Amino acid sequence: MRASFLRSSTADTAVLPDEERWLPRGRCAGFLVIENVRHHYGALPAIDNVSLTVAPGEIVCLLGASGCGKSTLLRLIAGVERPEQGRILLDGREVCGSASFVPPEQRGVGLVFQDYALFPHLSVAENVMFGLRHMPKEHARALAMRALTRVSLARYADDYPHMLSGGEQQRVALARALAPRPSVILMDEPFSNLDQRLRETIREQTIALLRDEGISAVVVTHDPEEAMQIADSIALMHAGRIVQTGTPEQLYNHPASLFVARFFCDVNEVEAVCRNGQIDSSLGRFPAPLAMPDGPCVLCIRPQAIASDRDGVPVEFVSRQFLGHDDRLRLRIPGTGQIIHARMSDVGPLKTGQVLSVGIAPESVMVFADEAKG
Amino acid sequence: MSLDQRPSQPAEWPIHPSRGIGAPFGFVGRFMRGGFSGWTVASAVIACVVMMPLLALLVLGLGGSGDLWPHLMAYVLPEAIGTTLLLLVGVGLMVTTIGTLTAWLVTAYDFAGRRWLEWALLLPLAMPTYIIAYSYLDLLHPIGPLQSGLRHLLGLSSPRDLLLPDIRSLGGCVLLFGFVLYPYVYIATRAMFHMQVASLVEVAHTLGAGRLGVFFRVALPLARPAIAVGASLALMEAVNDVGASEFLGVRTITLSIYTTWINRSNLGGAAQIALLMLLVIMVLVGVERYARRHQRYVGNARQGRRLSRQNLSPLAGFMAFAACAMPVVAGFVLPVAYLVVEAVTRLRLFGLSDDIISQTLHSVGVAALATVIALVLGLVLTFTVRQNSNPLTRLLQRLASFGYAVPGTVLALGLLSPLAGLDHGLDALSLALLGHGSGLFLFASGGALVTAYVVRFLTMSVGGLETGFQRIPPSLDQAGRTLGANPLGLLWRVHLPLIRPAVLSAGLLVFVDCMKELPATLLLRPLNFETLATHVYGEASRGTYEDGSIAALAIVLFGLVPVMLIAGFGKNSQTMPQSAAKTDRTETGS
Repeated sequence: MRASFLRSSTADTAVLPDEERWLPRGRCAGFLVIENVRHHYGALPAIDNVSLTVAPGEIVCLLGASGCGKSTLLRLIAGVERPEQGRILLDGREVCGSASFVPPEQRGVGLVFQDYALFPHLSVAENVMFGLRHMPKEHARALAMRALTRVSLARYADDYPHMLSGGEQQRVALARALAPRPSVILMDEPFSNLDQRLRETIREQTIALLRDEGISAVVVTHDPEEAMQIADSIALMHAGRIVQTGTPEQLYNHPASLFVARFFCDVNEVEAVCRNGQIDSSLGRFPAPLAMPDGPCVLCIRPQAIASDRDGVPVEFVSRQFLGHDDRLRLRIPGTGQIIHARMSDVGPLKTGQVLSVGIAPESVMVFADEAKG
Repeated sequence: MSLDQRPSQPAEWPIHPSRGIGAPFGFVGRFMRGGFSGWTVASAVIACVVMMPLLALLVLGLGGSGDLWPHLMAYVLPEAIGTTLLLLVGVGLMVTTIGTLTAWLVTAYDFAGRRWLEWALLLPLAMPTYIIAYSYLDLLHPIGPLQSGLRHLLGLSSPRDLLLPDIRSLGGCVLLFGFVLYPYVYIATRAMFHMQVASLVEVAHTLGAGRLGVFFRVALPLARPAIAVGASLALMEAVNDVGASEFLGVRTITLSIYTTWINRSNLGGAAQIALLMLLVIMVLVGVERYARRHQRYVGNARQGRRLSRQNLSPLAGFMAFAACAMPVVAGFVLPVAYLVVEAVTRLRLFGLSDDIISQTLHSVGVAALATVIALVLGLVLTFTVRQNSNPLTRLLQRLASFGYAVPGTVLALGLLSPLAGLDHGLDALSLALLGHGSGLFLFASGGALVTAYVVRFLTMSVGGLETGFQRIPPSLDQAGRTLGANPLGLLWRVHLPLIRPAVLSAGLLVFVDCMKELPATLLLRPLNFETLATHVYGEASRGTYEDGSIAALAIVLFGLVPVMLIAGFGKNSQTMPQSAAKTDRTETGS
């Protein structure tokens, strides 16, 4: 089993630095392909026909609410669980398929947990050395120290994990996962146990490190803002399926479904009817997107997309919340009585019941076929 | 190593068979696809060995007992069943009353001597039932110290003038069992009372409940599951007993199995009674399981402020002290004082005999061997579940833990024919291969005895290790695996260093219980192989209890070790990872 970690070529090892001699070269930018994977827990489908590709050096976020299967997918990639169907390929090698299954210790993936999972009986350096067993101890120690230096923790090498703060433990976990040069690193909610201020810093440092090393990474998170900040590509999951994959901009600006739109932002949903390429709603008439079938549909409007407009539709002011940079207004559509939210600044004093005229830029309106009616 | 190549299976095995779309494999298919791991197979073998005596009993019992059964039905069983039920009811009431009352007193109130009593109440746990019976038989003998002293005090000269109720009766048996078995209830309920939040008690007070009201309407209902668990453990001990009831003249079912086997030499009849008895046990196990069902719900009350103890007035404090001290004195101080006096007398007269040294070595030897085997098997069972928790592995682990519920006599009876069969097989094999037979190797070498110990006490090893494993978060396993450790490496490099305290305490419990075990030891030991327990029993059957006092005292002293462990358990458990971290510093990473 150790053979896979050793370099197979017989090049002159003397000229190579230690790391190159003991660790696979260039393993860090791994290429991960997941094809039609399914997995069940009891009767519940945890992963339902999921396919995903992580290009070398890419950071992909698995985004979703708790229980959507994102952590399960991570465990399937790591090999600590075995899917019922589908294939997983790492750097072109099938690590999991109908006939093959490579156990986690032979896959060469790194795993970072929400609780960091540091071994409490081992010192920080010994934790990092845990995955460096196939080489002389002094080499392992040197590599571990290099990894710890990389996360600025070399001075804590001989301390025990419980003596470190949460942020430091997180960095040890990262160093430990990176030390054996995995082809892909998997992170399960790696920042969610950190307090708000620390989280930003650690997140930036971690992502900078991953980018610097050119590592492929799959990061699980439930926080859409975090996903948009760190990911090259986001796979949004819901009930065991990937509902949309794309860049953060694609998912935010061109959500494939109402679910995706709702996930990234609070949206106003207004019932409407599509007829002959036109959409009629209580907030006015908008051009329908191409190939939109006639019938009931839902308009999806972000609060930021609503602005004062002299030529717009009249709405009744209900109440406001001061949020600092702008205000959050609750407005009532006169015809239907529906309450919508808008984010506006410089609106001046308003009285309850006062009528405002608001307009919505057609390009910021998202239209979806009415999900309830099919 | 072939185990390394084994595909790792999902942590939760899907229980449901094929459900159409999305479930491409049937039930059987899933098992086959995952493949049985070496660990699962090993667990299955262990479970089979543990279940073997029960199957053998079934075969033996169904094979018939000649014409003994009508006789047993008519003359032996009705009395034995009646006596056993009365004993169980009596002991059940005693242990529940003493255990719950003392647990509540030391948890809810503060009085002089409370801190001392809180752990002293555990002491009778070190006292096996047969030793307390022998001690009291002598203590309460008409010419023993208690009655003589009483007569002296009252100015009476003849034992006939002062007739006390005889300890050799069902009532005496219930009393003695109650005084040594109540700690099972005490431990369980005290833990439960400790967990209760102060707000519950305070709310009850503001709603008008007095001290008694709080106890009966709040504390007791919440502690009910713990009481049931503790009481069923105590009753299993009571059912297991042979030594005490025999000498107290109480003819229980256990005793009738023993006599049917030994005196009548009727294995079939003994097996039939044993099967009947297993029904009783099954009810006890059922009660315990049923009670544990609620434990989770009660455990939710963990959060919040703990109950603070109320101070008692001097008079009430003295009464509380007396109530708590009484079972300690009766169940531990008196019999131990008797044993010490007798042991010192004998040591002074004869010194330490060679016999007692060889008996101690025998006891320690078989107990140590059984402990090591029980720990290894327990590790296999618990690690299998850890690796691959599915209904099958969990069932295997539960089956393998069944031995504790089987009384030693029944277990010995059940092991007899499988082990004899194995011995004959060994004999034939040795004859064919080596040219001379091995005889009854297992019985002659003590192998049968060790097997019985392992089967009976595997539960403790499994339970202790399971608790240890549960403290390790599963993410450590996954981290270890992705960092290149195979399952065995994970066990060696991560689990064992972390569960070492659990291994030690589980081993200690198994060891001491092996030392104390009497019925199976009597029945399965090699000829002329005396352990401390059988020596005590032998002296007692000759009516010379006091000659067994040194051995009895030794057993009690060994028994004190786990008591101290339990007394200090709460303090050590919190620091487990740190202390493990420090001691392991030098050994790991090589």
